[in-house]
Amino acid sequence: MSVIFPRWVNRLPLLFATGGGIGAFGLIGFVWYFFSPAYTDVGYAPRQPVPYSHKTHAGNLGMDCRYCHSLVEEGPHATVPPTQTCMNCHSHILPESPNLRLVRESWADDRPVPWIRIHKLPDYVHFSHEAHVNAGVGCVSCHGRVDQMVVVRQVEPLSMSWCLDCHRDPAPHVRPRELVTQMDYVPESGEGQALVRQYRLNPPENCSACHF
Amino acid sequence: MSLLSNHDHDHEMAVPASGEARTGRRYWRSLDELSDTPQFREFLEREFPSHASEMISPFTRRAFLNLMGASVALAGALTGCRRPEQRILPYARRPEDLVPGVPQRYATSVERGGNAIGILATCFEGRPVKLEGHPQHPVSQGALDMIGQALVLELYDPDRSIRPLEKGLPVAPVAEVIKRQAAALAARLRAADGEGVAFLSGLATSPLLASQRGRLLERFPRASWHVWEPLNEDHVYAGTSSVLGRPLRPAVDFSRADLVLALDADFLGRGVGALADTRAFSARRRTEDSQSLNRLYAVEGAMTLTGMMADHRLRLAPSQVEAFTLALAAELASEHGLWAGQAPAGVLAIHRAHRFDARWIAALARDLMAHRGRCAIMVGQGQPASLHALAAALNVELAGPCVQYRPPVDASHVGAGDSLAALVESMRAGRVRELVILGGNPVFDAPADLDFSGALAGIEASFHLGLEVNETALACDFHLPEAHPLESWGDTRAADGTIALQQPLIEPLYGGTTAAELISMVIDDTPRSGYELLRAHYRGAREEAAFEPDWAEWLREGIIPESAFEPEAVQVDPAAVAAAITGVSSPAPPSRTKLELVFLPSKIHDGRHANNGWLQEVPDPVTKLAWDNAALVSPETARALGLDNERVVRLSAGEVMVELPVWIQPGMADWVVAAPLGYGRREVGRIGNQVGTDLYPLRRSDTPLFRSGVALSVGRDSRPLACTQDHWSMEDRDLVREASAEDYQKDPHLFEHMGGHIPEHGPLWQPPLDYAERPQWGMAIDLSTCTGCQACVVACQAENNIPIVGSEQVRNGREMHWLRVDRYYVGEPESPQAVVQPMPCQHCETAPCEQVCPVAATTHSPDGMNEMTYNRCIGTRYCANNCPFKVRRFNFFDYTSEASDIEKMRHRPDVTVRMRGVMEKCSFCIQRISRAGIAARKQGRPIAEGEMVTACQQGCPADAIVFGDLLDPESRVRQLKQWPRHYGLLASRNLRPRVTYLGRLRNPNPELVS
Repeated sequence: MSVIFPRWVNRLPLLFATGGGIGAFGLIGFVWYFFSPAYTDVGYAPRQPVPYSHKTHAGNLGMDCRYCHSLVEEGPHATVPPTQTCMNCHSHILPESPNLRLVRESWADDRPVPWIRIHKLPDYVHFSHEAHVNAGVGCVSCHGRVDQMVVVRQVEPLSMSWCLDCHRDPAPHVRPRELVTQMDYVPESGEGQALVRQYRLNPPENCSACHF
Repeated sequence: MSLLSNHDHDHEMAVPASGEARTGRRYWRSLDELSDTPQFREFLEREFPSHASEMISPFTRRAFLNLMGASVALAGALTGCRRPEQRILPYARRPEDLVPGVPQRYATSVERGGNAIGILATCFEGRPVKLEGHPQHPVSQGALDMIGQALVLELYDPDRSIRPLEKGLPVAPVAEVIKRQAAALAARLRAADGEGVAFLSGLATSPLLASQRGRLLERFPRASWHVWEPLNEDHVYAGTSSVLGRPLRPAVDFSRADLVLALDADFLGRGVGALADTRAFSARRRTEDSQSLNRLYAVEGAMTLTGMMADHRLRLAPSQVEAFTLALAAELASEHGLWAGQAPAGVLAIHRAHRFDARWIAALARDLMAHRGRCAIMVGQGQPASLHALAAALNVELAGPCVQYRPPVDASHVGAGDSLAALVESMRAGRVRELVILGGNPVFDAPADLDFSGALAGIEASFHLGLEVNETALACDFHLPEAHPLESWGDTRAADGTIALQQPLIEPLYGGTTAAELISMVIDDTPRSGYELLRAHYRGAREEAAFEPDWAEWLREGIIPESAFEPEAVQVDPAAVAAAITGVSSPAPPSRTKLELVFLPSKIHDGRHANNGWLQEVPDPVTKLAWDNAALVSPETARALGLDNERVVRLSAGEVMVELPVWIQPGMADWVVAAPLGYGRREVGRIGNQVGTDLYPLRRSDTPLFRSGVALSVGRDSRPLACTQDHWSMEDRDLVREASAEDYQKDPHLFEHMGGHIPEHGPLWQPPLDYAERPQWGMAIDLSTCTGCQACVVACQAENNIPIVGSEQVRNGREMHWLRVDRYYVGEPESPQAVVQPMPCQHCETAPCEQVCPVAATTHSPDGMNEMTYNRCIGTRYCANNCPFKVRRFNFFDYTSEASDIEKMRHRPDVTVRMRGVMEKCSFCIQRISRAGIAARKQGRPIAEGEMVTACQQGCPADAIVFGDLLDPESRVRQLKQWPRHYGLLASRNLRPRVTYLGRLRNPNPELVS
């Protein structure tokens, strides 16, 4: 009887098993990493219609975040400032700058500047800046060192597990309420735990805390 | 806990043991259930009706799959892996006090058919999304009925009138056409001092409009002004003016009245002022709050909410109510010496020569005399003026301070019926050549005998200003879009005279105008805006600076203080009463060949709200029919005439004939056919066109709300009706509990004994939470005060972005209302008593739904709520199957994504709009809890009592729903849950629901209890 299959064929099942196994693990790993917000969303830094530099304003000039994001303590949205806020200064400073053309047009026509949204949560999540800022969570905890960014980019994944990490253990991210906007604040050791007790923080972990 | 899914076992346990034995009474929701027909059993045993999970038109399943395939492909191709770019559009100039994402509230008011309601509107970023009752307004007192709740939907109605029409063709641009038309109108008026020009408006309470009308008639003295309102109070005013000397409107002071007799008066349902009356009436149905329960007698032909609340109800055709009242008056005069021998002539003659239930009349008369000075008699608007006259005479003798009389809110009030008749006559005689219709729809709703549309066609020119392109708009030469009440400046006057300002919450979406503005364009050389007109009207001769503080105050508060009328002292003219009575003919009672047709004001009022999907879909409070109307008949009449449900019948009187399906309604008077008005609209929009049958062709000027001598013939066809009364049935379990006030006083704990045995071992399922920390949310619903008006249902729909699904889907049991109001009957099918029970998610601490969800999409929160997480739900529907209360709703289709941008504006941004394939249910208005919680935490304190109010609680005119923190010692809900009437549903199953009930109390006359 002649040999139909050569001998190396005997190795095929083993090869398939190993290759399949590695492939399956690889695929899981691929999805795990590349489909997660940590890969897809972090680093998102679209070019804005007005080349506004947070580094200049918040970093070099040392403006407080709340000068522009004025309602962050009072409502769910941090609120991108109205054109009026820009014009407070820029009607005097660099009033002719070509970079500010859209801002001047917006002011003249009473039409919004079409900023591009960077930090986006799904529609079924109800996040409130008011709740977090008043609990002593610093801006930097979610938004990173905005004062060093010429173009703002997303630095945290904003995924649910990332939210829950902090809700389960808020201490590392809590600071005195009056210092929430201070970008380079370094807490003393044990300060977070003390503040969690002082502010009586009990971050919810149930679904309807955010999903409703 | 699998007890609930084991049907046989459960059935065996529940029916004989609990349903009958414990409460001793059998409660049923429909006649099918009472007779336990095979159809009903099948309906019951399926979670949803058969074929419910199949696609029916407008898509076939195949077409749907095609569409799905295409949309998936498109989604893949177009979106790819790129992150969609979203824009943030901040204000260029941010309005003062506006915090994006935080709702703002404004006080305003609206009116409906000559009755004003105060409203508190919630706006998000300039969009009104939710209307609530104004707490300080005398009519709403913080509550709002279902029509009021649903008004916001009409603001965003895509079928609204958006542009002017000339001869039925659209013309643009809006503002210029309005100006041009107004100029043309002014020119015609100037030509001959207004000769030949007539104006027709609805009954408007607005003092501003009244002054504009005065100015118009002063400027053009030969013009005329007429009013028309299909549901008017002509007979009330005619009756009171005949015996009291001037037109007055009676109002019952329920805080004083221990006994109320409603004669064909549905004051708790859709009658005038039901909102205020319900609040005041229901306050007297809680023994814990007031010493004594009031007692309600109702005499009526059709089953109404008032009849359902009544302690004693007599079925009587409306045509017989006057004779009944005369018999009662005769009994009072002869047996009890009312009027002390000075009884109006003619009253005594009737004594004992009547065909009514003598025992009932005798007992009622005795009870009235026993409550002299503490009782009130109410008469329905449809009853003749002579009965209103008699009732006024009786009330002056019997009711004393319990019935107060105030002038009509429109001082120049004339009878709407007479006014329209005079107008039509002038149109026919050629005295009116041009007609300006300011709102309303007389072509559709004018009495058939006047033939208004015929007269309209014969005149030279006709203008119509209206919110919708309705039958009248298309019949007129010119139509102009009107601004919605939520878009315009104006004012209203409530029944007690209180003036409320109306302020716009949004710019007119389509640039419409208002009647007051239009008149200004006609009479003023420089037309003024609604704002200027209103300010000028109230400023009068005052200086601007002195006026401004008052104006700001009125706008903020919404009402002008101390503008109410004082009740007037009245004196009866006995000769006038005698004259009114002698004129009364005693009509023969309806019979098999001469039926009596009753026109019911409906949940779409007189038809004007026909294009409002929320109102169309909310089940009628009594019949539980959504969408179409039906001819309601008693079971006995149906048997005698061989009718069954949904059978199309022909109702005819004279030459006129209408066809509509039959619905058998327990509690109807025999040989009476009742049908809701306002359906069968021909031109109103995509929602309301051809829904139901138009009854107006059978309605004549002399028979406003009932008509005798109607013939009925049975057709062969049947037309399906969307009735929800058997949906979500709970199979005889002891869900409603009731007792008489007397028994309750003897044994305050009798409600507790009605429940089954509560297992001592506790639940097998141990909840992982201890519920020890504040807040712990709970709700108590008082069945004693709830009238079943459905205001809560629409409030919930508005608050929670709940879609409508259409008639066909309702028939499939797919209605989406998170809160339903179950209506149970008890007693004989011919004349049952009714109990209603609002049924939201019960938020069981050991919720059966949570135990079967394979993906943990429904879980429990530490504050005791059963939470539903849409983004986790995969749509298995196991939870709905395992829910013993059947309160879970499934999105069988995508109901919202195809809505236009304008329609989407009505959605609250803080509530997720659910997509196809997910389950949803009552969330205790979690978005409100979340907001209240953040605000309280910011101040480092727990949420205080009153800060967290659910939408249903807020809308409830009866104050029957109370929500709050069970651990707050101050909370009302905690106190209510300690009342002895308190009970939870299915206690034997250890569900530990957070929503519990207070048993219903009745206060029957011991003399009439057999």
